[in-house]
Amino acid sequence: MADVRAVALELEDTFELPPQRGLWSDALHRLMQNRLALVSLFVLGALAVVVLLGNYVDAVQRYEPSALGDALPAGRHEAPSWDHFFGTDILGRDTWSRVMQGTLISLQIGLGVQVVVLTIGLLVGSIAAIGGRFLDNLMMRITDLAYAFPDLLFIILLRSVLQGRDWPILGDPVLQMIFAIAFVGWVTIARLIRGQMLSLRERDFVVAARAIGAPGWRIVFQHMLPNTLGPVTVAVVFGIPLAIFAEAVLGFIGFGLPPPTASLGRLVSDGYNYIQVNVWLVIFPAGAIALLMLCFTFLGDGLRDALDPRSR
Amino acid sequence: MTGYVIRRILWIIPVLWAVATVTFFLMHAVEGGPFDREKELPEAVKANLAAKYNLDKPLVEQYGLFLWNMVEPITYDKVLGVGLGPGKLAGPKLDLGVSFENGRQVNTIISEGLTVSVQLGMTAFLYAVVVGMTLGVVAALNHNRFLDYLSVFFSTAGTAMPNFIIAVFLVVIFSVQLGWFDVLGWEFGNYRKMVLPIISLGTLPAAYIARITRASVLEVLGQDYIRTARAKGLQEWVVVLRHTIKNSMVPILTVMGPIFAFLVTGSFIVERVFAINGVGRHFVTAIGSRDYGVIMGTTIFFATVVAFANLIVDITYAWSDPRIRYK
Repeated sequence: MADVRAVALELEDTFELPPQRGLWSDALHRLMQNRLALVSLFVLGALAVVVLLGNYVDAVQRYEPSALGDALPAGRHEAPSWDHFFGTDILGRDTWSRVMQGTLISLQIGLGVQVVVLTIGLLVGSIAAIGGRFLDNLMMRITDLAYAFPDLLFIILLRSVLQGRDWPILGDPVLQMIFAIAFVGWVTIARLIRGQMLSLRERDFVVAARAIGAPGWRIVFQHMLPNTLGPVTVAVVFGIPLAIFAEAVLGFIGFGLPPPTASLGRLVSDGYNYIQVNVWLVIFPAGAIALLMLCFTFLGDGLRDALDPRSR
Repeated sequence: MTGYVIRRILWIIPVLWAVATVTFFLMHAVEGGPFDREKELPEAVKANLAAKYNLDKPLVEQYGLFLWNMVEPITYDKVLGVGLGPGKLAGPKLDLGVSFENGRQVNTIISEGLTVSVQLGMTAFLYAVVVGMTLGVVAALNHNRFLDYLSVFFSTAGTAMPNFIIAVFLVVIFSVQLGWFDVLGWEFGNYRKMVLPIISLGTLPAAYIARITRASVLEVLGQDYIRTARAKGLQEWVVVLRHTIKNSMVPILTVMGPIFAFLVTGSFIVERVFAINGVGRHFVTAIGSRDYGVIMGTTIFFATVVAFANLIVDITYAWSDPRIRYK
């Protein structure tokens, strides 16, 4: 008897079981194999470090973003050099420190919008999915209407409404911008979460949880929400470049953060006016926007492929 | 199907009403009025102007006036300006009032801008369809080879690049450095003023179409009837053109609606870069100067385009996929 057991144990050891992975470690594994997404993740990480250093460490920032050059007019429209990595603008301001400031703002807005969008989306989506037919219909009609608005135009309008008033909490222009963009962007996430939860509600494990008498909040938070995380993560990551884009457009057409704050869109717009004189002024901020958008999109692409259950 | 289409068209009316209402109250909530200038106007002048344009009335009354001017039924003799006996109903008045900036009819301003926007939008649409479908088909036919990777990279990068960034880089390279094209303006028929705006506006939709075409063509290429067509000895171009591309058109057709809406509503950024006087540019300047009539007019116009694009999408879905049953 003991021999058989020993052999069985030995066999168990020698059998190479395929490594068991959960959804997330499996997704991570797949993401690691996507070279473009991996490079994007690396670039974004490096960018975040450089931008943080460039905003909070004087030795990297080197100049105040809105400090005028001291040697006017000699310091105007300089080409990139060791003194000014990215050159200077018409007022002799250092483009490097301004692009650093703008990129930080873009990242703040890209991430901040997703926080707000996710909160509203989770709330509205869950209420629509589990709150009964009337609430569901109401929520869906509202999202239908929100879809009918031309979104960029609506963001511009909201931004103008929020601007120039003494709001109790929304006084900060960056926060105003985040809310203007988020008020338009929550619809997609809300509909996604509603759809996911509606289909999850009929699944066996939820029915089982209900059958053993789990309370409603426990079913929602413990069983349903975690299972919506995959698609929601993808939507959130894709939402980041969209928010960055919206902010850049607003800055570009003159509805962005008030000067002298250097948002990337404003920098592009300012630089574009002097395109015949000083090409560098527009190239660096435009390149920063392009880099951010590309990296987040490639990352979102990789995540979608990694988390998509159909592709496994 | 007919009932569904009619209900879908009627649904546009409350949607447009909601858009107009929200826009109306939002735009009046924007700080400052249309006659606040750098150089302060005398109070009496301001009061007179406000009275002339009904801005001194309560907001709800202004809203009522606006709605009435939009929906007031008018008759044919009023449209033609001559009495033809008791007039027959011609439709709603759709009067958006005048611009505070130059006193011109908002409807005239929009229809002028529309000519330019439609020229730009249509040519960009054509560019997007031709380039996008070519790239998609080439990628699918070279599946998992170099051309495929190149095309996929282009389409992913193209969907990520904002159009004004593309425009800026194009201008830097082709106008400032090489001098091939003009920096500003739009003139139909003059390639120096057309190429860059079209590419800037059309690249994102082109990338999007390329993606969808590639996926759709790949799916069709895996079907049995393609193998049959090849097995019976048809030439490759016949298989590709007649059997593959024709059958992979449906998913591509269904995205045409949103792409058209995107081209029209998204054009204001490109119009801004190249200083083109389209509809979108009027919207941007109008918000800056609180030109209420123009804001309402352009928003309603854009919302109409979006609504009809969504309508076309839903109808093409219902038409192309019988499994989608609309009751």
